[in-house]
Amino acid sequence: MSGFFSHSSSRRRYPDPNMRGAHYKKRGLFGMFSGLGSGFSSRSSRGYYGQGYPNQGYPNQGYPNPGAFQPTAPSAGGEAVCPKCGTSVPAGSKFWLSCGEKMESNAVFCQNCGRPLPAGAKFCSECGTPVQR
Amino acid sequence: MMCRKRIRKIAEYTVAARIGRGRYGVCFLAHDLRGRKVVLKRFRRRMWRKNRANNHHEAVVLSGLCHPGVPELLGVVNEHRGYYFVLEYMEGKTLEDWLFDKKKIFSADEIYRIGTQLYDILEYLHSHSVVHGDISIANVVDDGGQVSLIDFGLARYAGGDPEDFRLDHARTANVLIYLLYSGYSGKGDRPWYEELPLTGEQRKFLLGLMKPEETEGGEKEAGRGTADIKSEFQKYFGDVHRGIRGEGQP
Repeated sequence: MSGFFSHSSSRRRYPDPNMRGAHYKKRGLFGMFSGLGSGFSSRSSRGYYGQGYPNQGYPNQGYPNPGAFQPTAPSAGGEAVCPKCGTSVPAGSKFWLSCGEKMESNAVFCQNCGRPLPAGAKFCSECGTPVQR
Repeated sequence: MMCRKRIRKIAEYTVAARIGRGRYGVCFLAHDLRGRKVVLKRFRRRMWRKNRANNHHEAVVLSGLCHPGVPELLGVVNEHRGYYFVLEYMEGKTLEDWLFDKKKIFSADEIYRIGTQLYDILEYLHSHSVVHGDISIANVVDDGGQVSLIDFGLARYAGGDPEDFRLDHARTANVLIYLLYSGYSGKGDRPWYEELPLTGEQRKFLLGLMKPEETEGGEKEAGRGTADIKSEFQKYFGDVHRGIRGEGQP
């Protein structure tokens, strides 16, 4: 996943280093409308990293046009396919993202760098560490 | 007419309340079959489709993490009414709520504890090549004893450049500045580094994270690790420097 953080895209997420004190003494505009804030970014630039990933189709989610949910870039390979719903799951996820079935065997991560390992990988594609299974 | 509150079920989860919302959807507090608190994070259909190539990152990143300050991914619910991630509920309030709803004034001890715990979490994330990317007062939860970091919607794996982690360092410094301002009663018309009653080392530490390219030695130090930064934080905001904060500070 090298090159994931382009400087031009992530730079806008840096806080203004010269912010005046008044900024720190009031709640942000979006925060006034949110509750606990337990998990949703209010930023419009969520997808800015531009990293594509294999796509799963999510056939049951009730959201229309699931077929349009296509990958924008190929994965490193080694995706697992759910025997129940037939969709693929990105390396590392311990749940199938379409049907929600648990799949611990897919959640394998490099012992050295922590990145997800594709199914069947013998070495980490990022740091080269041999996979211990 | 008697009005009964409708109990809402999402899969096997019983929804108790809506606890947050944002551009991407809504978060509900719910209980699982064992009565354990969970968060159901429901994605808005439009945003889900718009960012369909990136929606899986949060699930993948959280699947590889196991830390008391990071919510565990407990499941995925995909039903006709919506698509949800089921996440561990982290006890406490966000720093934003403590600051602006509860008007809490954070003492030097509390800032030290929160900063240390936040850097502990960051050290763990960065050792797993994860950049959170959205550290803010709205995404840090504190229950008075333990800090948690939530919302991994923008989290990504770093590309191998130590500079990738700078974003988290800068945003964490910004959170600390919010806490330092909690008891400050001045006008707020000057930049934080001129206004806050900081020691020279504290100011240099925070400036070095917020704008390393303009700070003496900052560029050289920009690539230093999160563990180094945590040590510096503890050194400059620890025992020796507590009580130095100015008038109006606890």
